[in-house]
Amino acid sequence: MTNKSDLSEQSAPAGTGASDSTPLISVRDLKVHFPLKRGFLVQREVARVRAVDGVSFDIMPGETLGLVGESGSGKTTAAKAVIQLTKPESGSVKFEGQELVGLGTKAMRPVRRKMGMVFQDPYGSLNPRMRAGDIVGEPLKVHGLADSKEDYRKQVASLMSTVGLSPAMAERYPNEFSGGQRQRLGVARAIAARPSLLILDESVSALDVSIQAQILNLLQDLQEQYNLAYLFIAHDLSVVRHISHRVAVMYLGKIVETADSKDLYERPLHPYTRALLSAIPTPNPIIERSRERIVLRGDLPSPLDPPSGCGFSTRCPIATDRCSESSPELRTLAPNQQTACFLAEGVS
Amino acid sequence: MTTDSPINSSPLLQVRDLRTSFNTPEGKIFAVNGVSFDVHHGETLGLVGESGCGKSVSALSIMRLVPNPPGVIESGEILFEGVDLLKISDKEMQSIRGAGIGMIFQEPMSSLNPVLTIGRQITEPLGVHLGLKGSAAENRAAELLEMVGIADSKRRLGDHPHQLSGGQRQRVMIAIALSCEPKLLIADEATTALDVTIQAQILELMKNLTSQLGTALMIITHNLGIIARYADRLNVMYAGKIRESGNAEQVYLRPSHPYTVGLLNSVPRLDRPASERLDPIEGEIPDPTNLPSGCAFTPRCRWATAECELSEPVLEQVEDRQMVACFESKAVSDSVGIALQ
Repeated sequence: MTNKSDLSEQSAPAGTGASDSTPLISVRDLKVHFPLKRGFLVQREVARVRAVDGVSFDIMPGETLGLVGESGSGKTTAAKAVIQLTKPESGSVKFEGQELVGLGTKAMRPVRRKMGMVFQDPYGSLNPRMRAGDIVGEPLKVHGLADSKEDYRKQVASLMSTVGLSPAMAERYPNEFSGGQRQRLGVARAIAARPSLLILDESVSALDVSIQAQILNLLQDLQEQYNLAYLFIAHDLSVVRHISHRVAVMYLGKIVETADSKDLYERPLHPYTRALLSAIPTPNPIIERSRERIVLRGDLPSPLDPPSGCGFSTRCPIATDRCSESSPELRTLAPNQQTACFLAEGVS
Repeated sequence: MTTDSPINSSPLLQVRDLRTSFNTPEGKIFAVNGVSFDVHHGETLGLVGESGCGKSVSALSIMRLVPNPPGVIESGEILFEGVDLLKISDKEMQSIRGAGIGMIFQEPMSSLNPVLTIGRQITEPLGVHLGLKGSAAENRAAELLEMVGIADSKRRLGDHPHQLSGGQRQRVMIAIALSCEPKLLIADEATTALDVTIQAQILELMKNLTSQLGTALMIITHNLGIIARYADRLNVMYAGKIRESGNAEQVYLRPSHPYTVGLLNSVPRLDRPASERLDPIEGEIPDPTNLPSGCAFTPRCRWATAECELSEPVLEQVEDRQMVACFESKAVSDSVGIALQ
């Protein structure tokens, strides 16, 4: 890694792989806190939600990092802070060597061109009054990437066929498209300005399985074709395994385990990762019926009132007194695998 | 028709040629279009399919909860313990709901009344169906909450739904649905909105309670993994019809309908190599107002022949208890059996 100098021991990045190239994006000790205010005329801060609490990871060009976690784990907030849609409290986000934290809106604009985003809801994220072609072509206009009207039309047509839509559909409005087609429009818009990173926030979660598979294949093809890096956020671990090279598991604003995808699924070391994996039923009745399931006690703690020590200690099947007293840091327990658990050695 | 020879007692629920339509501005659509299946005492049946396939409308038809207008149950029979639910009065139907058949929906927040306490909502069916009142009802309600794993149950009876987490609300829904010990529990996407670890809790709870109480369970979901883990038998639905049914092992290990094969190949699976490319079903779900002629799956089907566009295949037995509606089922199961192994 080139910028090893600016990372403290505890915030070692999520599995800095064996690759020797420079990361496309480098996130260090990122924190996003939301103040909770009370009071009528004079508002004062009564509490602080640590939505993202010291997250570090790298993404190489052309690589997919899967960010997994349940609701409230901070995965979406982390992504928003990466693209500077939410102001982080502290930490650093370096994109192609440039520090983004603290950058003004104007200075961010050329950077945003290189970061596309695809959202979960293909119904809410497309302007219903714009024609499909203009939705896809808007980034071209915003960033001045089309030389002429003719060039603009050509680019839009080519983008639409890249994502598997007929260019003739450019004249239609979003309500004339199905959910899967709308998500294709969302992808076309995200890649229009030729970004190097796509942030995919639950982008396939709302789709039916047959359509979901189509979009996943499309994303893999685009990655290969354009050497795109993905930050793939999802709660479905089987989808994440399918598309990710590396995976980071989040719980209550922190990364609790990160590893190469293959290792994480074959040898999960954090008790939370193990419970998550065991909670996913596989479509095979013979495997399923013989499989032991780790069923976690209780609910996710409120991020407003997180447990002391390790955030997972209240639900952890192997927690000891130590776990509620102090918070474990990420430690390298296997090559390219880091786990934030005092007892992870006993797990394997 | 489903064959039920291996089980000697008569089925708890028999659905026969059910057709439910909706009037839409674009015309009349048949959300459920000739569906027949049985649920036996104490078994778990899965109903699987993608959005719009008619799985939820089948359940709502059984409960006679199809909103009318625009929905109409056009024809068919729903025999519950031998009584046709489509022929009885509204009042008689009310005594079946809750006491005979319980139902859990996807959104626990919208199924619970936000202004009433949990206790009030659990004791209500106890009063209506079992005649339990006052402290007897309250004690039973506390017992039920304990049964679904809510600690400190006596005190929690005074809570309102917003004071509970999503998982706890779904536990309360299960308590309400099972309060009058129905013979059948229908869970319509009951865990879809929950986080995976909570989903696992609720599913295990539902399975354990129904097997303890001997309640038959009908799980409606789009999640093939859930069905594989919990269901004894399943029906695969597409465009308003059952396309394949059978024991879980049969359907998952030797699928014989192209749609079932397509679904199984569309999901990334932890039991297959991650590098394997997904093999999705091409195209999209057909417009219900303009279904293709013949078999509705024809435009997306790799095995389709000229015959498929001309006439519609009916469910036929391909193996003991496995039924498939496809002219090419033999070719499909032969090719897939090899691919899966």
